Amino acid sequence: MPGLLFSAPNLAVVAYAEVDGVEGASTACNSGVETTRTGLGVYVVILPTTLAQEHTRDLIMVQLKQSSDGSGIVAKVSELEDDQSVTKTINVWSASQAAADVIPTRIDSSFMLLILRTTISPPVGAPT
Amino acid sequence: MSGLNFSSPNLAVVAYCEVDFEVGASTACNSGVSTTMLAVGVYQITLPTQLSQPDAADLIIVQALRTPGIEGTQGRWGRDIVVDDSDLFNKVVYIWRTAPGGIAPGPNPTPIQLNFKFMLLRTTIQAPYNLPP
Repeated sequence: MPGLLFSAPNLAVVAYAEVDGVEGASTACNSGVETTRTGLGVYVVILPTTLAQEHTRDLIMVQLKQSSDGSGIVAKVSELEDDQSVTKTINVWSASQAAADVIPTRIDSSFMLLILRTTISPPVGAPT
Repeated sequence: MSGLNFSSPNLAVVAYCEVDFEVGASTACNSGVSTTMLAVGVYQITLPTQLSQPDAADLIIVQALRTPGIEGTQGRWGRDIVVDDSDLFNKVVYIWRTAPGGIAPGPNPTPIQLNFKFMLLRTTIQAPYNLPP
C-alpha cells in the first residue's frame, strides 16, 4: 500500500463502542471499554490503562443515534472532551432553541464512538 | 498491530458513499449501496443483502458537507445529524439545520437537504462484551 501513496498515515483502531443513551451502558458493540452515564447528556468512556490515548494523537468520532427511550428522532448536537488519557467524555444537547440567547438543553442520546490513533510520526510534530 | 495492544478491534469497512442532497443520489464515491432521499433531510442508505448489518455490530459515521446552492447566500449553518441504524439493510440519516445565534432562530431545527459522506464499519471479531451477530 505505501507504494500507492495512501494508507501511509497508518491509523490504528484503538476502541469502539455503541452506547445506550438511557443507561450509558455498552454491552453489544464494544471493543473492551467501560462506559457510563454521569449526568443528563453526559457520558464517560474509560479506556483500558494499556490503551490510554493522549489528546495529541487520538482521533475520535462520535455519531449520535436515534433515542433508545422512545422519544424518536430529534435533532441533537454533541461535543467531545479528549484531554484525559484514559477518560473521554461526550456531552449531548438538544438542538432545539427558543431564542438566540437560550442555553442549550442537555439531552440523553445513544451514540456510536470510534477512536483511532496515529502509529507513525506525522510529518509535523511527532505524537508522543 | 496486535503486538502493540491496539488495533485488535479489527474493524472492517462495510460500505461508504457520498450522497448528493437533491435526490439522494450517490454516483461518484460509492462502495455499492443504494441511496435515496425519503423526505427533506431524510436519506436512506440500503445495503446489499449479503452485507446486512445489525445495529449491534455496525459503527456508522456521517459527515455533513457544505452544499453550495442550498446555503450559498445565507451563510453557514450548524448541522445536526442523527442516524437510525435499527434496520438490517436500511440505515437512515436525518439532517437538520440549526440557526446560528442572532439570526432568527426558530423553536425547532429545520430539516435540510445536504450533501454528506457516510461510512459504515463493523466488528469482525468477538468483542469482550457479547458477540455481535
